Amino acid sequence: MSSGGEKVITVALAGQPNVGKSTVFNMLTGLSQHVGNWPGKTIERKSGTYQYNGAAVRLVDLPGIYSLSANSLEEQVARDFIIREQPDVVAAIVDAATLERSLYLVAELVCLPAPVVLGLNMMDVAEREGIHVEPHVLEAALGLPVVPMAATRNQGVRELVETIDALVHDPLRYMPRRPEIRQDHQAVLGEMESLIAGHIQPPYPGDWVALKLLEGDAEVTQMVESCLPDDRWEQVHALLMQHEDAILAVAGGRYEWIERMTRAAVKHPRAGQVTLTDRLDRVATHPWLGLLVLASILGLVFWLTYTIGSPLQALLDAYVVHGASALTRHILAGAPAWLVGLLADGVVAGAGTVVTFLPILVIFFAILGLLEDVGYMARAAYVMDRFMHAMGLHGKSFLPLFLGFGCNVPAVSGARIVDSPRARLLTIQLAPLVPCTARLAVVAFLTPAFFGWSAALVAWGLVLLNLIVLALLGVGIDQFVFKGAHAAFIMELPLYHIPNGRTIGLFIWQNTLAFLNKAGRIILIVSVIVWALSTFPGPGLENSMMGWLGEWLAPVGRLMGLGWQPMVALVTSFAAKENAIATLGVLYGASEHDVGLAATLAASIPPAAALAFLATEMLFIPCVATLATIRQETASWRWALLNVALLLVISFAVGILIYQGAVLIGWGV
Amino acid sequence: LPGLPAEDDASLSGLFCACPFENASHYQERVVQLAALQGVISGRRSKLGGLVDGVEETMAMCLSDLGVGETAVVCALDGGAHFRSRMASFGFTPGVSVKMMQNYGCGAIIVSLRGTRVALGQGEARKIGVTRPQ
Repeated sequence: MSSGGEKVITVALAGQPNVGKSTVFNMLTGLSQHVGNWPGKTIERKSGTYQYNGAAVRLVDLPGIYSLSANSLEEQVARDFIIREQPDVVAAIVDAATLERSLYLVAELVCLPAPVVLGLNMMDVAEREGIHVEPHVLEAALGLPVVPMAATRNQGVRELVETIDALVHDPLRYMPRRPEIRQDHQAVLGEMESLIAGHIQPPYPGDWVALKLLEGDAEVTQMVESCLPDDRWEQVHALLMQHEDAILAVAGGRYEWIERMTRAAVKHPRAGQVTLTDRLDRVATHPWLGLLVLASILGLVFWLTYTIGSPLQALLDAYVVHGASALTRHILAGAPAWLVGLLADGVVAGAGTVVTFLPILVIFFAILGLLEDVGYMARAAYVMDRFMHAMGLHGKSFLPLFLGFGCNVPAVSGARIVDSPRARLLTIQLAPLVPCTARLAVVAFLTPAFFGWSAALVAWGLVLLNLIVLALLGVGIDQFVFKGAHAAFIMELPLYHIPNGRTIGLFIWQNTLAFLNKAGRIILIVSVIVWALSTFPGPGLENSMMGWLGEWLAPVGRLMGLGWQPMVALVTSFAAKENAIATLGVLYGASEHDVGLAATLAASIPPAAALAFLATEMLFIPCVATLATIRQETASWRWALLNVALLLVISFAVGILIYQGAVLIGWGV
Repeated sequence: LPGLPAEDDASLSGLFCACPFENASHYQERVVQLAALQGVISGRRSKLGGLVDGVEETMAMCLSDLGVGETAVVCALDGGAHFRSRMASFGFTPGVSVKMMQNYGCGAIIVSLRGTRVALGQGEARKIGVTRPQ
C-alpha cells in the first residue's frame, strides 16, 4: 500500500480457542480489520494490516482450532491457508496457563514449512494460577522464538511484531525441534513415506502427508488415493488397515514432545492448591447453583434491554425515524404522491427499522462479548446442556435462543457460537419461535382488550405455547431429519480472566457493522417492497396487494373465526411484528394511540377468535429483519424460505386448532 | 451381501474404508478381536488396552465410572477415527492422567487433564477406557 513495489509480508495468526488470539489480533490491527468469509465457506475470515518499520504487514486471523486434522471446516480452512498460501510467518498464540494443551496445535504447526513464532500469552493469568513459565528455557527447548505476552494488558505485543520481523528477514535462524511419532510406529511411518515418495504434489510436504495418512485424516486419504497409481494405493491402504490405531501413536508422540519441551520450562503449583477458577466453578457449574447464576445474568440482560434498550428504541423511532420521514415529506412537498410515499414510508421507514434495532443489538453484543471474554459462556453452555440434549442441541445453543426474547435478529446471528454446523442450523431454525419484544408488545396491548383481568395469564400461556412448540419442533427435527445423530459433546472450560474493553468494543463494532452491512441492506430492500405491496394500486391498505393477500387468506381466517382485517394485520406483521396493531388500527378505523381501538376490537372479535389470532401472531413467520439475518447466516435462501414455510404451517395450524377446540367445547364463540 | 466378493479380505477392508459407517459391524468385530488380543475385555464393553504398562493387574473401567476427586490413567479410546482424533486434540491419549472434577451420574462431566478442564458428555466419557491403580 505505502510502497507499491515491495512485497507485502503475510503473517497467519494461529491458536486454539480461548488463548487470547483475538485480543492479539485486535491489538495489532485495530479498526483496519476486514471481515469476510473464507472462499466458499460460511466461516468468518478476518484480516487486517499493521505497520512495522514503514512496511505494511498483512495479518490473517485463522479460526480458533485445537488441531490441524480435518475434523471441522475451521481446521480445514486453517491448514489449507498455511499450506497453499504459504504465509511468511505463522504466529502461534498459546496460553501460558494451559501450556501443555495449547502446545498441541504448535506440535502440528512446526511440521509445516512456514516458520513459527510462539506468542506465550496470558503470562499474567498463569502467574495468578501459580504456574510459572520460563520463556527462555522454552525457547531453547523448542528451537523457535518465544515471546512472553499479556495481550489484555498490551504487554509483549510490540515484541511479537519485532520478533516476526526478525524471522522474516533471517529465516535461517528458524531451527525448530519437531515432534516424532511414538517409537513403536516409527518404522511404519518410514514405510509410508517411501510408499508415497514422488507421488505427492507440492505444496504438500511428503512427510506431513504420511503422518496425516496414519492419523486417518479423511481429506488427505482421499487426496493420496487420487494421486497414487492403483497398485501403490493398495499397498498404502493395506498398511493403513494394519495400523488403524496409529492416530494414538501420532497424538501420543506429540504429547511426549510437549512433555519434553515443557519439563524444564514450567513449574506447576503444588497439587491440591485451590485456584480462583476452581472456586468460581464450584458455583458456576453446580447443577442448581449454576442455574441460579445463569438465571440472574439473564435477568440482568432483560433488565438492561427494558430499561435502556427499549426506551432508546422508542426515542429513535419517535425523533429520528419520524423526524426523517416528516423532513422527507417537507422537502418533497409538491412531488408526486408515490415518490413521497416511496421515500418517506418505504426507504426512510426501512432504514428506520434498521436504526431502531441498533440499541438492543449493541446491548446484546456487549453482554455476549463480555461473557465470552471472561470465560463464562462455556459454563452457561455446560449448565444448560442437560436441557438442550432432548432437542439434539448442546448447551451452547441456549444462549442465542435466549437472546431471541429481546430480538430474533441477534438470536440468529448469535448461533455462530455453536460449533457443529448441524446444531447451528437447527438453532437458527428454532430461534424465530422465541417470542421477541415486538411480539410481546402486541400481546401486552391486545390481551387486556380481549381478556380483561385474566390478560396476564393469557399472555403467560402464549409465551409458554411458543416455548412448547419450539421444544416439540426441536425434538421433531432432531428425530426425523437428523435421526438423533449427535455430535460428540466436548468443550474446554477456559480459566476465568479479566475482560478486555478493547476486545469487547471491537466485538460489538464488528457485529453491528456486519448487521448494518448485510442484513440492513436486505431489510431496506424488503421494506420498500412491503411498502409498495401495501400501497399499490390503492387507495388505502384494503385496496393494495397486501390487502388482497389478507383477503385471499380470509378462508383460512374463517377457520380461526377471523375476518379479513386480522389476516391483513398478520401479513403486515411480516415487515415488523408490532405492525399488527397499527394495521388493526387502520382497518378498524381507529388510530394506534386511540383508546377506542381496544374497545372496537373487543366488540368485533370474539374471545376464541382473538386467542387464535394472538397464538398465530406469536408463532407467525419471522419478520423481514430476522429473515434477512437467517439468509445471511446460512448463506442460502433455501433455509430462510424453509423457515417461513414451516412457521406459516405451524402458526395457522395452531390458530385453527385453538378456535375449533373452543367451538367444540362452546367457549368464547 | 450382493455384488461383494465376501471371501476376498482385501476388498472387504476396502469397503470398510470407503464407507466406515455402513460397515460398523465389521469395525466392531475388529475392535473385539484386538481387545481379545490385548486381554482386557471388561464385563460391559471391549476396550483397546495394553498400551500402558501394568494394565493386566488393574481393572479396566470407563471414565464415566470415576467418582469426583478420583484420578485415573487413560488406557483406551473407543469409537471411530474422527472421534479419537478429536479426543486426542483435547488431550485424551493413552497414558494421560485424568482427574474427575464433577460427575453427577447424569449430564456432562468435567475432568481436569494436562492443565485444562474439559467438559464432556456421558456418552463420550463411556468411550474412554481408564485404569485406576489398585
